[in-house]
Amino acid sequence: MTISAQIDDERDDAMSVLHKPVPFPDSVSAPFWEACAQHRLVVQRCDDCTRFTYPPRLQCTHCGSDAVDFTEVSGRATLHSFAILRQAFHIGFLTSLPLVLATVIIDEDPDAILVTNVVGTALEDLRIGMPLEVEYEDREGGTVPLFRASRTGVAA
Amino acid sequence: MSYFGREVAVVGVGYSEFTRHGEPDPRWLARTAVSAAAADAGIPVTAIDGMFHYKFNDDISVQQIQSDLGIPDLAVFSDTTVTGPSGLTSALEAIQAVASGACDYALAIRCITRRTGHAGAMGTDDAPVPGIHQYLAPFGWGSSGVLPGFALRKRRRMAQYGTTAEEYGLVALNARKWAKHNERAVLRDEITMDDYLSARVVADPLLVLDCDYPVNGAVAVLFTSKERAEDLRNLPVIVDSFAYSTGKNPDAGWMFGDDFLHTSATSCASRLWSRTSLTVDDIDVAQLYDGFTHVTISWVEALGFCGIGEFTDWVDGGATIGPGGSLPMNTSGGHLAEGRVHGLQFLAEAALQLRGECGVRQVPDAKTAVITSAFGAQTGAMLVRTEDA
Repeated sequence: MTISAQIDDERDDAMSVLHKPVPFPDSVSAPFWEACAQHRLVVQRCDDCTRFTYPPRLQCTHCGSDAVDFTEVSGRATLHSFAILRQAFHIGFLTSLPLVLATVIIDEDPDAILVTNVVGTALEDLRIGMPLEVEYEDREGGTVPLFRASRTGVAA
Repeated sequence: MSYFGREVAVVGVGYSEFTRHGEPDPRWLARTAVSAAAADAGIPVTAIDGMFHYKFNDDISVQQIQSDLGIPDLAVFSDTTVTGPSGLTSALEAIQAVASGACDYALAIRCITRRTGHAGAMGTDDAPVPGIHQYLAPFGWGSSGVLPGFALRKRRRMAQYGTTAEEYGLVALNARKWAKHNERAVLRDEITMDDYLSARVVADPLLVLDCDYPVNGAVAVLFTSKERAEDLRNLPVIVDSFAYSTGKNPDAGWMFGDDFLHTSATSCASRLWSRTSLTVDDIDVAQLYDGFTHVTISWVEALGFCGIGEFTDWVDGGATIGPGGSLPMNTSGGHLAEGRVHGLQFLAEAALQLRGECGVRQVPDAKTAVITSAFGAQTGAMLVRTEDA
């Protein structure tokens, strides 16, 4: 076997086992990821100031209250910004290029920004401000929330 | 600085050679830069009694540098936290050490090589991701996420303010205009806007010419009290004021803070101006961090040289910040062209400008300078001036 063929083989082997990263839930984030596994999006909402906190925190990021509870949200969001990656920054995404890495704002709070991927949407149709809706990708070891162009087309 | 203790001055600067290629031993780089800084100040290396290095994991330590230079004892020192404002962290801690009286001659150094300094490599770890990265890594963010993060900011800025990629290009072009006159600089050929716009896409819309240029090198800056500085050979470059800022949620990969586009640069700038009698109108030269072109634009606006979102109008096609402009900026070429030695080089260049030693690129009669460092949750800023400013 030539060296280059051997390298190709080793790369194919590596890519067959390396997959997209999944989260390691902790004492604060576990309810968020458990809800994702049930294909529900929950975000911490403060009982005192009513604002939403993301990523999950020990207390409300706006007022400091302890009274934050995971609350199911609509799953609707607005595209805040996006980058089109044609090179992978993690080997698990080599077979998912081009990848749309995005920031999205959930409808429930203009300051709650999620980092995610926009999927199932033609690159030329991506527009900052476009309405999105959540969907889920079940990976071995965890489910993550992704977003796609809103099927109803209703502006956020 | 009177609110902090003794007044402090920059009294020496030193550099190693900056190189793109090869794998120089960092011990030689550091020794060269420190020796040069001490010689510049006119003091023996052994007089250094404080040392601070903004050190990445694999970088050389203060212990190593001290040993290689035969410095018999240090009264205060630190390998500073990597969550500080990049290489300027070394200087900010050195200043506080001198101001407090903890030492008399404090050395700030940043020594970096392409091997120790790189952040954009492709991750391969497939273990479940803990901590704040559990909200980033599952989406292709990568191990540092710095490139996707700046791609997101660039596209958002253009949409929010109706600006274009050319705005970013003007920062890239400016770096080469100045680097042409800097013998240390690694990239000394001018580029055109077409060169910029057709540069390789790193993470659409981020282009390779938006990014700093990694090199091997070391920069050292030596501080002492203003009182001692007056007896040394160089014109003292007085530390007028400085500030750090983190903003909210500093643990969050620079992504979940208060201000997506400008991050804590805004709060850092406000804090800086609250500590000085100088105003933006008094500043003769600006040395603003340019790890990415977005960072430089953000600092200009955060410092109040123009309004938020108004950089394009203010920069006047690059005339404002170029040679002969009203605010000459990044006169060494910065990270984009002199080479990325990580922050401290902006202070070294400011000191040389205020001493009038920059040759062809000298800003006439420069008496004040603003220096900023890093971005996100790790911002730092300084004002320096001459005695007669």
